[in-house]
Amino acid sequence: MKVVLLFLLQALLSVQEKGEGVDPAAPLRKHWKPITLSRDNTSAREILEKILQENGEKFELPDNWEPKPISVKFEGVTFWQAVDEVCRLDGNLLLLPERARFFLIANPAKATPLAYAGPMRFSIHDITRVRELAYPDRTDRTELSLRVHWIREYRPLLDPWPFPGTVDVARAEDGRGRSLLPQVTVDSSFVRSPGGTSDRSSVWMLRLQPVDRDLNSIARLDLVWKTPFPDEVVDVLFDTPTQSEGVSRPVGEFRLTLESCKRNAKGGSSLESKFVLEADPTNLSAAVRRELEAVPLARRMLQYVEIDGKVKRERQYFSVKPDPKNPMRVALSTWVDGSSDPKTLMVRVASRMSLLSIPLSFKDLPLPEAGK
Amino acid sequence: MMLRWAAWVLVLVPLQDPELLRLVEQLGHDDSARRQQAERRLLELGEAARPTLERLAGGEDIEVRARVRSILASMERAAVRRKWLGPAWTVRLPEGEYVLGELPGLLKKQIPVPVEIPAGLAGSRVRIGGKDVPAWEFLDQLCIAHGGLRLPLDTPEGAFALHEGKPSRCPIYYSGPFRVSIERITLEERADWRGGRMLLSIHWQHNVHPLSRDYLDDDYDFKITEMTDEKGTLLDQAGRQSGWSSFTLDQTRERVWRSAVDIALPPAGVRRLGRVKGRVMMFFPSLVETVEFKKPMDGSAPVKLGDTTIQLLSCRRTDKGVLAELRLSQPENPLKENALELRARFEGDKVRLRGTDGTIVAFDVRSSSHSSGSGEETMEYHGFFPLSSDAEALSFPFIADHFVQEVPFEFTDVELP
Repeated sequence: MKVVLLFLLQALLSVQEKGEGVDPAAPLRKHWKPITLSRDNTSAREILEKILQENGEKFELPDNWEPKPISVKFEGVTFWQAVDEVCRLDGNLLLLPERARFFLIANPAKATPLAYAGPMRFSIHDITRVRELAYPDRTDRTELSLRVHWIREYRPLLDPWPFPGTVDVARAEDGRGRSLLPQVTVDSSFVRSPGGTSDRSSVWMLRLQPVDRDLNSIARLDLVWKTPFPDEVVDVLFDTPTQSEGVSRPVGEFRLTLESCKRNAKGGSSLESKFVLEADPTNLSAAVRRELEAVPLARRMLQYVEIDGKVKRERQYFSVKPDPKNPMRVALSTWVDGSSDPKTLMVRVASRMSLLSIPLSFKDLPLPEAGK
Repeated sequence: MMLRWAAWVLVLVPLQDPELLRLVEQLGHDDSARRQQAERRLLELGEAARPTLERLAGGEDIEVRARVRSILASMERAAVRRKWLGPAWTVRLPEGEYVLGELPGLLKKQIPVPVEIPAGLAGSRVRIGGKDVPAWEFLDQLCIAHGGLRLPLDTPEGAFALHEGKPSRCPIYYSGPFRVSIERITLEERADWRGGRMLLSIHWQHNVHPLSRDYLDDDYDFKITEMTDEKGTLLDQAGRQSGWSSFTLDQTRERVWRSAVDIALPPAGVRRLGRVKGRVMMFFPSLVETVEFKKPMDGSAPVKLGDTTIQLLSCRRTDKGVLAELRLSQPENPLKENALELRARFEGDKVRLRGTDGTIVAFDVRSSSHSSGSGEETMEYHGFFPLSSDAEALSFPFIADHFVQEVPFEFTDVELP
């Protein structure tokens, strides 16, 4: 018995050690190129242009900027870390990410609270003290806008739509060590919305408990960014889709069936396609079964449709209806503007998918001055 | 003078009511104050005076005739207003302790729509009473007196519903059949912006039927015109835009509109507002015409209603039903005060198609467009009717005329967060 216990303890310790060493953002690694660059006393413009060029990014640089000579020694840092560091060292360059475009302006650098996860840059770009009487209750709070940007080469899944994942607040404390949790729930109407999602950015709104008016910072904020990550994606092609109703295709261990594909019968211009994505629970591997617990079948069809080889980004609508009695069967529909007699229809399904949980940490977030 | 009197006597012989006789005589009086007094009283008498006035409207005396016609026009306007903007309901109930579940029965004759009480609270008791208290005010008082009732934002069709919950105790102003309240006050401080918002609501009784506020300019939204501190000092009520639109009228619910109005952050030390005054502008239809195209699939001539031209551009059968295309146009006149946009006069989903077999089906609007400029405003609707029989008539209501009602509000001693 003692021997068995000893083995178990050893096994547990080994798992723990292994777990500590695992980078939760490792799966994103293949989507970004680490920057290794060393320069002494070199123009900040020259360094910046090299970073942008190597990463295929085009930022607008200000004409009135007088770059300073700076020294950098980047070793395997992310694109965003490198850009932010150049701005900081120059001292008169400010990155203004305006949704889809990025501007650099000649302005004293601002201490924006930042966190990085591979191709993603997280910033707290706005903090608001809110006093509110929502009769009959008080709903005072501290609102934080958490903005995320991603590099050109990587587009995260917008799931739950239109956000690239969710953000949990693991820990939030004021300067006296008082917790700012639980998050404050507010009526969904007539409250500031977090903002939109663009090709390159998205914003979440976090609503924490109010901070005492005599305190001027949030001492600590630990977040967990959870995002579904497709480990394996299958492009599923249907030829002459309007005549292929009932045709099935294997998608890893799942099966996708085109139930119908037709133009709107009432005269609309859209092409409506209905699919069923299903899995046979008796034939699933243990790994896929585990993945389905983290990211269910209903989230496996990606927001991507091609008709006759052309990606349909404009006016595409998706609807997902999980079968309440059978978690292994999901009905999916898409409506896209399309030709009346398409030759091919292609959709994208994640056959393997995991839920990444990436910790993000911020310290000493400055609060706006509180009026008397 | 003698001739004028003789004419009245001839006209008024059938009259019995001595007050009417006296008032009619006063309409021709030399003293303008007496004439105006008579006009006011006749308006108060309303329908009871109408037969007499109608008889006099064709009389020979030009002055009297003009006044009578003016009174009749005012009565007509009042009748239209009553139709769309019904009278305020009031409650008279002796002060006492009541079983909550019995109140709906007691209020039945005073409030024409039922009052719904949560079943779980029907047996609880409440001390309440009032003399000619507006219905909305009575319901708010009932919630507070009970302590476990609240007025929900949504009122169900054909009833006042009370829900279980904390009474709101928000600032409220009662104005006829309306209830205006401050739902929420928000004060915000950011590094680059400080300001606030008031979320205002207006509820109305079931006998009030305003027009949808879509497509009206923002000036017809809720407006705060005056805000003071506790000492009566005027405060700057206009807040800087907080980055999201303040013209956010929510009219998605039954019998309530809500709007968030930006306000300035009150100065340091101000904990309460002495007075918040303002108004809500509401539009009501005064004339609703039914537009009808008979035998629509055979082609129809345009219909002209005032300045508006309505055309049925096409109406044809498919294997699933009937496809139709409507076009409405009117001259654009942005300077016309309180003008209604075409889009506010007509709702595509109210178009109906009657089949030869008597079936009536609704218009499933597939696409719509609106354009203005070049002196003309136009709307086009393209849609589908799931009708299997032949089409007999296509019809829909169209608001040919409207009036504007200003609902004032004034809140006093408003606590700030």
